[in-house]
Amino acid sequence: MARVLRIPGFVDLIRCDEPAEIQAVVAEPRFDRQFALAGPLLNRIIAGRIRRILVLDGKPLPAVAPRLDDERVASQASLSSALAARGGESPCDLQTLDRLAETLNGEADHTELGCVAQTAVGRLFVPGFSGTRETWRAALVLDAAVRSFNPLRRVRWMLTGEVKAARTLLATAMLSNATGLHAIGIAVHNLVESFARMAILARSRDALALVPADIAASRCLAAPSPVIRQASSAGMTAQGDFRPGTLVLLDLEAARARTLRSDMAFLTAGWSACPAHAWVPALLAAVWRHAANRSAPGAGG
Amino acid sequence: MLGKVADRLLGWFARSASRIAPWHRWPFLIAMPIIVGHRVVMRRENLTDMQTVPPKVPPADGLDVRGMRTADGSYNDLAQPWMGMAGARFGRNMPIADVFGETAPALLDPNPRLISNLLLARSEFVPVPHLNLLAAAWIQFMVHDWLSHGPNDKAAPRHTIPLPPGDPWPEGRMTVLATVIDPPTAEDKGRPAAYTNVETSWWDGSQVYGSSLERQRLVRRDPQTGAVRTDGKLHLEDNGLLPIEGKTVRGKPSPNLELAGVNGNWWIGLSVLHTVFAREHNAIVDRLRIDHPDADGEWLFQKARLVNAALMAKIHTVEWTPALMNSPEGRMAMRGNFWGLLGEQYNRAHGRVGEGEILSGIPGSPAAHHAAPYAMTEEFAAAYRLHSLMPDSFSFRRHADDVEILVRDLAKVAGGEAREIYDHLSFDDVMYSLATSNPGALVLHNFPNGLRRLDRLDSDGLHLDMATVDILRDRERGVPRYCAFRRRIDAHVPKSFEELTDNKQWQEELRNVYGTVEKVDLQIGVLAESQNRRFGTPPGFGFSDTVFRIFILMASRRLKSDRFFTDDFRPEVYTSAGFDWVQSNSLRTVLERHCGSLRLHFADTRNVFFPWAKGGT
Repeated sequence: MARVLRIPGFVDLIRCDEPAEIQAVVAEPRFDRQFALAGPLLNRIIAGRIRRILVLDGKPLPAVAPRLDDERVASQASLSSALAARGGESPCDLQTLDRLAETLNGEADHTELGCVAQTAVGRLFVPGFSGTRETWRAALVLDAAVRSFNPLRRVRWMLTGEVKAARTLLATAMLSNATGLHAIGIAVHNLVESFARMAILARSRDALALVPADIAASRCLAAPSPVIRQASSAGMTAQGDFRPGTLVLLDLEAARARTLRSDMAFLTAGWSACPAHAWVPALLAAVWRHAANRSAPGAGG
Repeated sequence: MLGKVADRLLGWFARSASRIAPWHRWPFLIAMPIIVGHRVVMRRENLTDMQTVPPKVPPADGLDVRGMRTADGSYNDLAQPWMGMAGARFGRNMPIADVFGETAPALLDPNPRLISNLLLARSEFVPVPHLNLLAAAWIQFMVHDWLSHGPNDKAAPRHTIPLPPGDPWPEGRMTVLATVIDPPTAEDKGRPAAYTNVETSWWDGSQVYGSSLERQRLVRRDPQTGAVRTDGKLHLEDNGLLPIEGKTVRGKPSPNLELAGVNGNWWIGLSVLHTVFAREHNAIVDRLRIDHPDADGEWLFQKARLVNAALMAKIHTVEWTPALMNSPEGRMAMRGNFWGLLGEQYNRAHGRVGEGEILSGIPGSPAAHHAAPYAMTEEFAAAYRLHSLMPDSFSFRRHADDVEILVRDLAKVAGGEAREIYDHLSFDDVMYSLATSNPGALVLHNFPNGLRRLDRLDSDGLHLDMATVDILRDRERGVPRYCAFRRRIDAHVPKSFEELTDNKQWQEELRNVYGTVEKVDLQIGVLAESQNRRFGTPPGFGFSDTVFRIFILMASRRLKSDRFFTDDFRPEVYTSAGFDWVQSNSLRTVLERHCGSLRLHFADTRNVFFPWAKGGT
């Protein structure tokens, strides 16, 4: 059931974590991603951050752009068709697959995992790209910049320009591809979390041998949370009444965990469907399979 | 809003207090809010929906679905009419990622037959002195109302259980049919297997009335005419016993097997309860006809069913469960579910106070499904594996003088053999015999040996060891093992066999079989915790704390989700006489009505599930 947090002048949020609620919000045209500076204080702060940080050349990254934004629509379509065109091709090159599988078989170092996950994602946009400690650190900064309420960190970022530098570094690495920037700067954290869960699963008794790859992928997939929508006008839905600036937080991870439905993680039924909805589970399954093959008796190495 | 805040506080309190000690080690006034808090948390975190594509709902065919229960349980929730109907999937009480079924080799690790031999086999019958055998029969009577996985999968490869060295099992091999998996849809990709409940999940008396229109018509059929009785009654033979069907509900031949909505796993205990509640149905029809002389048989039948089902639910809630949870907290928790903190006297004198369930109980409060659509759950089915309640030997005695007339083993009171007992004793004598015998205790080494070697030599030629099957089924269906299960219900998780049970011999036996405590199966863990004073079975309880946690969630849910116990639990739907029948009656009054000659035997027992007075009273 949706939870409403409303303190006049300070905050106006609706939080949804049930699949049906989330689908209803996604289908509701009055909830969009304009992120206008509207509503009470906290809403303005959150919307303002998205507007300031998740941009490239003054334009919002496609993953946070409004429903009818032409560039968003074009970018979503182009990445979808590019990924579809890969067909049954391996989701990443063998060397990357090897490195990812290693993280399941051994103790995963978070930075190493971040770099290799960035490599896997980044090569969808820039074939020669390799994640480095610098790009991974930049991704951590960018992600924290959107989420953190730590005033000291925010002052530091303001004084040092760290956030802007991080974004520039990632954008340069992606040859100014805005979708790629979002992928290796923000979305990659869900992928890393998925691999971290896989590493835990892989350590449990005989799991690599017993758990089928698609099941492992399904169990370990991490969904973005929260995904945010903003009300563009006043109205009322089953989730609660809203006014311009009300923010709706979609807890996709809670909904996915409750159902193991990957369509929840990627909102595949809605206008904002993630183009990588098939690629990510395929990558997770491929890595699990590869790790299982490596650890099988007589596999060697 | 206030209710939500109170719920959050209770949930927080339960979690915090449980870190210090389990609820039953706190004083009553602290233990009660902890129990309620556990329920709050579990309603939020322990209800998982497995139904990805709702089953098709047949048309109501002119039945007044607002005021009557459908045969298949559809239309209880009018917004989601498929909910709880026969053929819908079982839900879960665990997060979905935790319920993938185990596959070989983990499925057989450790060997379920070894567990049966070394940890479950009954060496000496351990009774529960404060309960009678009707309590064991009652729970099976209820389970047949709530759930069944139906016939097993004959097409799928069988599970082969290796036999431990020296095991004398017939033919030198043991195989077990797999459970039928509900065919996965595209929506099920990446999810665990789901199973179908072939009974209605509702507390609707479907063990008496069946879970299909076809079965319902059969129990209402007058054999003289071959048509449904026009007076709204269930058919009974002239001697007041159930008609003979001669085969199970699944069509398996079984000579002399009695007819009921559900007649699988039949034995004499089920026979007496089914007979009593068929008679009760007919008594309700007679009462309703006084107020509604012009009503037709169909209307009388449906209203009487509604009343009879509610009465059974009430008996279970305020009589059976408190008998098994014989402590002030247990009695309060369950009676509170029905009458609320204000109690029966206040409720009947003044009616409900507000819509909350704490003060005035669940019946009549607004329906709510909490985190998932209503369904019976696999974990609930696992918690209700109570085979140890069954004795291996049954003594049948005359109530007039307590003289033993007949002694039979389990096989000879089961299936069609049950009916033959009435050739030697009257119905009342059989009832008396069960009510003055004790069930087995839910402890290790007390699984009836009669169920550890069932010879079902039908077309499949199967021998069955139910103890082995019980262990295998939980693993097959992805019910987490004991420690993993406890972790998900905010209960203390033992780190060693010493923390699991105080019994030193059991500790050693468990160590030898399992090696590590994390591998202990749910069922073995709940039996072992019967001798754990710190974290195990609460004082006065007939079952474990682990099982109790699932009960406090599901016992409330069976009432709270059902429209006929909540929004429509009112005289306008039940009729005035029917509503009063539910409020005024109990198993004691039912027995007074249908087994009047036994009245003196149970007159002095506080609860009719406690042993009755013996002999020539």
